[in-house]
Amino acid sequence: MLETQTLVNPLREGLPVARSPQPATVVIFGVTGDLTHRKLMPALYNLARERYTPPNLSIVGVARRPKTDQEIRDEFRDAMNKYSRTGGVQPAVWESFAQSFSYVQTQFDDLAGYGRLKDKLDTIDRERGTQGNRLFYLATPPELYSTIVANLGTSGLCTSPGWTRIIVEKPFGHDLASAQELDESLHKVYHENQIYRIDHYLGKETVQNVYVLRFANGIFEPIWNRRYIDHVQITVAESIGIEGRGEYYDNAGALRDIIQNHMLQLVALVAMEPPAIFEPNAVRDEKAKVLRAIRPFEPDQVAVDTLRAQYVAGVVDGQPVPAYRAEEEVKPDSTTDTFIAMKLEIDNWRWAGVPFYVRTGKRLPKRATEIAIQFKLPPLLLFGNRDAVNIEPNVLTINVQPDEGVSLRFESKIPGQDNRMRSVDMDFRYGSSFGIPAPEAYERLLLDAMIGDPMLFTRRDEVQAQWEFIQPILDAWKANPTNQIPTYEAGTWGPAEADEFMKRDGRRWRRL
Amino acid sequence: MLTEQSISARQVELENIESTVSELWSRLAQDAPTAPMRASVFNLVVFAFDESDAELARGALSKVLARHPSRILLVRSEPNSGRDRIEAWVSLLTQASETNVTPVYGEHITLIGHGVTSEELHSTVLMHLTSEIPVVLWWRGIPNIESHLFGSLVQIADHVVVDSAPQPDSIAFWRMLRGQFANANFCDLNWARLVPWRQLVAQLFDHVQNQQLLQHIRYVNLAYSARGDQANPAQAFLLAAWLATRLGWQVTSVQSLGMGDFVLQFAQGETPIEVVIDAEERMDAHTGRMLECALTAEGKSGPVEFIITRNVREENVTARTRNSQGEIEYATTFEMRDESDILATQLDYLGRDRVLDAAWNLIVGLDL
Repeated sequence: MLETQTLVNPLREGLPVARSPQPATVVIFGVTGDLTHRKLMPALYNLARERYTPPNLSIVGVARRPKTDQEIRDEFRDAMNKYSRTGGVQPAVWESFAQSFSYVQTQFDDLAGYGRLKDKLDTIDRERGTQGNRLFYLATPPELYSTIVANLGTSGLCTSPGWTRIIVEKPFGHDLASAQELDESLHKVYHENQIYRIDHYLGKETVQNVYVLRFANGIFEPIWNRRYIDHVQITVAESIGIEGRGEYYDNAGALRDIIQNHMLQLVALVAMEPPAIFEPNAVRDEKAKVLRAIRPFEPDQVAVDTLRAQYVAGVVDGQPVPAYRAEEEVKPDSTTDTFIAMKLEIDNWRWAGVPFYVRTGKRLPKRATEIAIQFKLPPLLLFGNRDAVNIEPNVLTINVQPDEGVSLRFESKIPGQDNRMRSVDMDFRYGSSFGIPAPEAYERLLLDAMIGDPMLFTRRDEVQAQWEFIQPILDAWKANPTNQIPTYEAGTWGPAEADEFMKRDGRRWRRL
Repeated sequence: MLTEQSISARQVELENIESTVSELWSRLAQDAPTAPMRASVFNLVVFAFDESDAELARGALSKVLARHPSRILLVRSEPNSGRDRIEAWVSLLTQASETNVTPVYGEHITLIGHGVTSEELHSTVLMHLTSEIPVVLWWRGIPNIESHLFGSLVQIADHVVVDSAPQPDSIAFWRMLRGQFANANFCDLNWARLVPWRQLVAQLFDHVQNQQLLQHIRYVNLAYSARGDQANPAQAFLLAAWLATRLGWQVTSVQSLGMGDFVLQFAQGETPIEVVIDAEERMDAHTGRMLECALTAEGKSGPVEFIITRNVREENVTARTRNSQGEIEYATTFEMRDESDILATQLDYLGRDRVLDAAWNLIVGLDL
């Protein structure tokens, strides 16, 4: 059954939680993995604890290892104590929540296992009233997606008496061809409006606030264009390394891990046109449109406007850390990029001539994600000559993490007899200003998927456009293989070449 | 964890209030590690009925300030104390938490009116409101609705917070407020305390099949805590009125059974619905708080019961749905939120609460 049921519960009017999902079963493939322990189960628990989810929400874990229902419950309780943002569980609430779990062991290519899963889901529908509503979550390595999806189709689990949806984690493919292949395999079984592609950045409170900042304030949109903006810088910096994910990361690199998905989504949010209505497809139409407008790289341009590098040993936050090549499961001669810097151009009327500089890296000095809109200097300096007066451009900064908020830099007069100026930051931090802890991104995303709101999930044409932009870069690298890659010391802001990258345009990277 | 630090509370002449506030900000800018941020989402005028209540109010304000940076005007009336005058105190309140980088600062002005000026404090309040942001009046305790000060401050406010819990007769209280201030935008903290109950009940009926039963509810039992002869059924009445107004029930009769027990008869078309309000003697719960909400609906295969029971000692609730096929039971949290938590959350929404309006209108129209 396709989407969607719209319910009007008259008792919900005036309540802070205006929307609540239907009772459903969440089926997590790869339930014994890290993502489920660190993110999914804590998110589901917190949603239940705060009464966002219905009391008869049920969870079925599917994985290859033999476990009993109780064993999996105990494991999740430990995970909750470790990873839940609320720190630990409330015993009575946990006992009730844990009763909703069950486990199905199967190899992912074993059709009989899917039969057992179907029986389990039918039983849950009867006993817990979940009405055939099913949300499948693929928390497995991506190479298993096609097999699982095909088997869900073959076993009849892609349809049910209620609604059926599937959540797919990034990476959506390894390159354009594999992304298209994955997409086709999904569409053989599911309709697009049943598919929810997670980019967890879109679940972050501040990322959602980009919409509000741009479209709920009359002052920004008139200047949000090439006439007033000099350039945009977006940084996604991590101080951590690859955290034991060597096997995955060495095949992915920063380009696939961050640029292809998170970074391009941030670019889209900044650069998109206002939608006609604030409705999922209208918003995603605009995002897809601007992603298609990003000028693809010509082969000889890749070396000019992209820079990749890899970290060597250094010190981060007082702690010595090893080089990337010394990390577990990383090839000793690996040339995988752990740092990428790039200059993008968007060919549309709003942005023509405004460069978007993006950079991301592992083992940088601090964890920080920010979007900085740097405005042009005034056309005329009225206060002394430009050499004598160090006037700074206005910058509107959206801090995504760790300290979410917005700041605006502007020039102000220093009190005194002359016209000396200094830059002032008007800094508004959501977390400290409003003292309200934001929900975790996965809580918001899981809830939206259960409700059937795809606004914060990426659509197939967005993923396609993102890969179409990335593929020429991968092709250029493949055509010009190298066993040398620029390096940077862990704990620094990237290679020296990254500074040159900006200097040649008369600009510099922001110091975070 | 929040910590509060008050910066330089000092007594000033009325005409120096604003200049002193500016001076305090300047001092803060010199002393603070980062440039202080001044942000105000509303003016919060707090009426405290005596000095110890003022202290309690200050304690409650820390959470409010953390969530809603604001200018706070704490007002006290001392009509019988000495010569006519208004005392003014000015300070900056800061909130810093372990997780926040930048502390939040709020301006705090205390005004104490002595003698006849105590009834004219609103004029001083009016002078010191930050312009162009909403005014929230939090009248603590039991207001003298006839007083000139109360009426004047309600006129100034965009949003008035009261609490029907301590009122000796909540229904009379609501009746008076509605009668005298029909256009004012009231929020009742006792209503805000019911949000978890309303959410739990609403959640039971999010289920498509259960939602169809909303029109077939025939019986409701609302139990609340009482102690000796202290029985305040305000919360129970609010919950009953909420159900009735959301579901389109018309009152046909109301009967007091004494000892805080009531029976309300409603009709939905020709179909009767009975709501029983029971006072339960409890020493382990605040008087007047809801203990259980049970709804019985006529299902196709027999009665369907929805029961929400508060487990006071464990600070959680158990919700049960029972029908001919069995029972589903689950537990969920029921945090004991203090006054400041409730107020801080309630102030997220400053618009008119039409749902509360409808509930109050039903209650004040009861023949009690």
